[in-house]
Amino acid sequence: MIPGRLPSSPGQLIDRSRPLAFTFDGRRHEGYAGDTITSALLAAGVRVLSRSFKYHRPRGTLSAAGHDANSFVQIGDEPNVAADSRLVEDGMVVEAQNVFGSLDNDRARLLGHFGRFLPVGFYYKTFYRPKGAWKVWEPVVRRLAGLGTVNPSTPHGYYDKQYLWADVVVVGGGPAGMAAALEAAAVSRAIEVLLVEENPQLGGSLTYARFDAEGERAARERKSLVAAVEGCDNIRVLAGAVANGWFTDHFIPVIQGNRMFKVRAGSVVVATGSWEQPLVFRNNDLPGVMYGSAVQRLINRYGVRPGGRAVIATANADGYATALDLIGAGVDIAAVAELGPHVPRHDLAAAVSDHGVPIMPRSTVVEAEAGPWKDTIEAARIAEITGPGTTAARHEVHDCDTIVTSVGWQPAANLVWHAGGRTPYNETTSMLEIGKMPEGMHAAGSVAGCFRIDTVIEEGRRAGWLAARDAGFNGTAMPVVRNDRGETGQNHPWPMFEHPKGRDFVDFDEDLQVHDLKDAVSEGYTHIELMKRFSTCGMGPSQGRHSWLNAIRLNARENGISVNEAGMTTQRPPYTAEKLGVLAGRSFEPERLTAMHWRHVEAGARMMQAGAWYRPEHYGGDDRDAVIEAESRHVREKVGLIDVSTLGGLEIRGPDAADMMERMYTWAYRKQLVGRARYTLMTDMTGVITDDGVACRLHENHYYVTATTSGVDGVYREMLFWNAQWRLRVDITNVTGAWCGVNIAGPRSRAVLTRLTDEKLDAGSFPYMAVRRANVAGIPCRLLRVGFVGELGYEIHCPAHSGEALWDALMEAGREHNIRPFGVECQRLLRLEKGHIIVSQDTDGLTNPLEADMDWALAKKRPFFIGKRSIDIQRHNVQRKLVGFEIESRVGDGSIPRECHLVIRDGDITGRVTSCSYSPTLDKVIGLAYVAPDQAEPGSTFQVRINSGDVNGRRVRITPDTYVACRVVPLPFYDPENARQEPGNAGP
Amino acid sequence: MSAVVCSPREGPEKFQRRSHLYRVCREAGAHWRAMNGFGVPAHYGDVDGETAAAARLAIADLTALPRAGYKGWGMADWIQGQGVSLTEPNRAFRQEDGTLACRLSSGELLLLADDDKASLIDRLEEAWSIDDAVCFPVPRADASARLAVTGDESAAMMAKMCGVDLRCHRFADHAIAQTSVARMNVIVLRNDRGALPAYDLIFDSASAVYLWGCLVDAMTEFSGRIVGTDALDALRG
Repeated sequence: MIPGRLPSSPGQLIDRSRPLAFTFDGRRHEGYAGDTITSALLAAGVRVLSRSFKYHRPRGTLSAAGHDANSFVQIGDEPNVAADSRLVEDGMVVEAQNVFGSLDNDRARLLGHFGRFLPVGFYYKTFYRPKGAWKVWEPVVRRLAGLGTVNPSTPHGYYDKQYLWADVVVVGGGPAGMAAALEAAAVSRAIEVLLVEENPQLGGSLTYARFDAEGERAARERKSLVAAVEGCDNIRVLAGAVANGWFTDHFIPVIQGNRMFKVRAGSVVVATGSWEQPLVFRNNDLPGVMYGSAVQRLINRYGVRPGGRAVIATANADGYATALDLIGAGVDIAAVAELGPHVPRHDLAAAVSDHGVPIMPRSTVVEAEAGPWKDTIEAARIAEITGPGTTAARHEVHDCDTIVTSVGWQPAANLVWHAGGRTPYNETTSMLEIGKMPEGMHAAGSVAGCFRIDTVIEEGRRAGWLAARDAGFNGTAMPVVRNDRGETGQNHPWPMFEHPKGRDFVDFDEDLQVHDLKDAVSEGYTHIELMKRFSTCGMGPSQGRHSWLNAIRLNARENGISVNEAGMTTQRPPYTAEKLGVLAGRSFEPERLTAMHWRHVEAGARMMQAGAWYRPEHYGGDDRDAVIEAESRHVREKVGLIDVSTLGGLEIRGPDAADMMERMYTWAYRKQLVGRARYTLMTDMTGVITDDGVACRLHENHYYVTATTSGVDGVYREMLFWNAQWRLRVDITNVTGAWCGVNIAGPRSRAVLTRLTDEKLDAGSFPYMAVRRANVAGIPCRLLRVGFVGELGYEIHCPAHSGEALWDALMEAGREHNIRPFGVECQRLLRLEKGHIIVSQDTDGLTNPLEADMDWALAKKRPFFIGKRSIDIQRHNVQRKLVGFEIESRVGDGSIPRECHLVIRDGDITGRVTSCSYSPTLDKVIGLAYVAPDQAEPGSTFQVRINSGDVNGRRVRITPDTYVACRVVPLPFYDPENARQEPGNAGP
Repeated sequence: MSAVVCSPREGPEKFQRRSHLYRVCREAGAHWRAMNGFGVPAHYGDVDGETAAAARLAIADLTALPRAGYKGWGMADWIQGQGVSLTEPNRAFRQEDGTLACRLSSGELLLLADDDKASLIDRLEEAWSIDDAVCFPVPRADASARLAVTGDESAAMMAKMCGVDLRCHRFADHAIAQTSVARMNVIVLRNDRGALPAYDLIFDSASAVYLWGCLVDAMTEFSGRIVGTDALDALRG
């Protein structure tokens, strides 16, 4: 009898009234709603799902649970989909991955013939000789390696994140988990319990396993527990969801579909079950070799007959339960190879025997004989076990198409491991067992080594009760647990039977055989961590779920130590693969817009980001340089308006405000007159420049201080930090978002502003660096007369919600003066002409004021400001100086020195360019650069190495070694007498 | 309450003070009302529908409503001297004139008015002088935007953006969380409208468009809706 669909029976998850059609590897298949891809394919007689990673051997389902890489397929743009767990959809197009050609005719399967040339760790030593060989081999290896295909042009999906809170989180919706959730919920009506289940339905092993010879117990328990959970108001169930890690304070990411729930739990119950472990024998990877639990899933969940004639190799009762399920599904059982010394005496074994199935004690399958195309099983060779890993030479051959193994379990204890828990090896039970649990975490069910169903439920209840107590809830008595946990006789101590011809796989993901791991140890990679990395055992998609237990047993034996001495490698989140989209989720990238933002957009501005802010780089035009040049000419000759709202704003208020200013900034502010503004320069404790701005004294006890766009948050933080120690009577408030600012600049700026305010703007009434409170267009504003761009200009600060109205009023009032907005790049050029620095562009993380030629901004007689001591120490050891320079003749686009181009002298670096631009006003290239102190005198020349373009009107070769001669000139480049900043002196 | 004064297409630009959100509200079809120097979205053409939506999930721009802040070492003494009743930090207390006094810390207070009368806010502004100040005004009216999130689904929607458990049984009416919402610093105030759970979000006004977009996106799965102040007034009774 071939694989196929069984009659309908209670408990199956498929809906036979809803047939579906899909394709796999180009062929059409049918299934039912509720089918996984694997179950639908197996029902259609398709066993080969994939090709192995290294040797491209045909692989079929192993666990039928999505726990291994054997069932990985590609669906559209999504690689590495576990066919075992992905539900089939109508019209779904499923492709095999990691094949060259087709799944049936994979050309790369020839690699299997060269296995002897691909020993463990071959990629560390094979392709590196002769020298340069790796360059040849790398593209070949990269093409052969990897699983699935990533399409970089895949459109972004909608992924989301959501916080979730629960007093108790129970991970695992099997019998232990449901019992735990119910008991926790019963402790108090106020408690909130979250039950997370990986499968779409609750039940866990109750949905497929058999706990009695009659096969009735599981369904009965499931029905009862699920009904109770569904009837419980304070249990929330997240089904089809994976708790993918544990982080400090019981922070658990739970992924359900395209959403990640960020769960905060008071306490946690881990009821995640266990993974079945393989029997190692020759050809144990052929399609048709399956775990007993896989067979039971296929039969009882999906109504699929997994084969026609089976051989079972078992070391526990589960193998006999599986045999009964197979018999019930109409599958012939050729033989049961019992790895233990005797035929067990339990009811399940007796029931199997009653069906006339031969049970062979102290026996194992030693080889699966493959069919002619090496993708089917034709027979199983069974031999007597003579010792750990050894068998008699005489084999019995049993014809079969399916080999079922049930030889042990490994706890799915990832969350426990993430939380720092340990799972020492019990030499008596041959199991990894959970040791001391982390605080607030409890385990129940088979993850805790409990396999007897009554005890599983009782232990689940106790774990739920303990978790409720840890979350701060009391109210019921702690449930009693009987002693018989059923852990003895679950795991065979040595389920590995090495074959002289190999192909006895320990790790299916990485195609690792017994001799590979032995070779790794013999080559000196004796420590478990080294063996893991050299062999890559456990580093595949299933992360050692089905290989690690046998791997550490092998390591221990080869090293002559105990399994516990061999130890475990570190397990870290995530528990299972998670999509980058889920991690990214709905990305939150805060943005800040000034009140005039949309006016800039309407005016055709090209916006640029400055931290979270958006600022107009320039207004319109594809020829960026031409636009910036036009904007700068307009400001110099007429009037321009720029949005400076992103400048930081701080209010320093209180009786000690002046003291605070003099401690935080390098200059003197105590004697600053009310109504005047003064430059501010801030240094840190090492004397490095950190920020600059302007301080406006609005009252004896009130300074309004501006800071740089990117620096204000740091300045504010520093002020709070220092005053937490100084305890000055001063209040510091960051008002950056509260105020909008514009700078109206140019010879006609006064004329425009005069139309909107009653404030006297003549030079006598409103001198340079004066500050006034005045209404502009009826809006209460702070007016500053400053000259950052080197023209007559006014900074106007107004309440943010009036910013757009102010902009509108200024643009309207300036219409007859041909006012024009200008952007950040134009402002950078204009300030460069004026020789003003920009902190963080013309300074770096080491620049002190002496290097930046800002000695003038230091209050030398004051005993203290932050950084003063460091600056004084460095005064006699200045290593570099910031100077203005120019290139005398006009140069073409793209050929001028750029920021960070190096100043070179005799092959050594003596400095670097910080700003450089062509100045249309001066018709020359000007810039700022750090040079050696002996190169800093006006008239000195230095060489800058550039990397492209024209120099001095001639085309130069584009090489990294092209030098441009520069000459140091006094600053500022433009209007050294500052005449342009005075009203009446600036032209029409 | 003054009548609706402007059509959906004009309106807010007639006023000198403008919420950063007036464009998105205008795009949504807002009808405007004058308030506190702003044009305020009064409704979007369907007050009954908006009121019903607000009971489920809705957001509204309340930026125009008066607010103020005071902070400093002597805030508590000075403010209580002005007749303001204070409560413990991270709680709000409604004053006689209806203003909510939200205590953000021992030395900082945020005052929120639920209509444009704001008598307490005006009175405090007149009383304060820098000459002998022991606390100082915080320009909350312009530094901050204010949004309302209302309805039974509001806590579930907020859980998509905020790590604080805002569910009604864990976060009482007039409780305050100064926390991160969509990676922004936000003051979250539980401020129920009648029997309906509601939250006020007070945050950097320059980021109003950003956070509004996040909220609109987050409330899509709950069929949330943008509503005007009329709907909130109807809920409050």
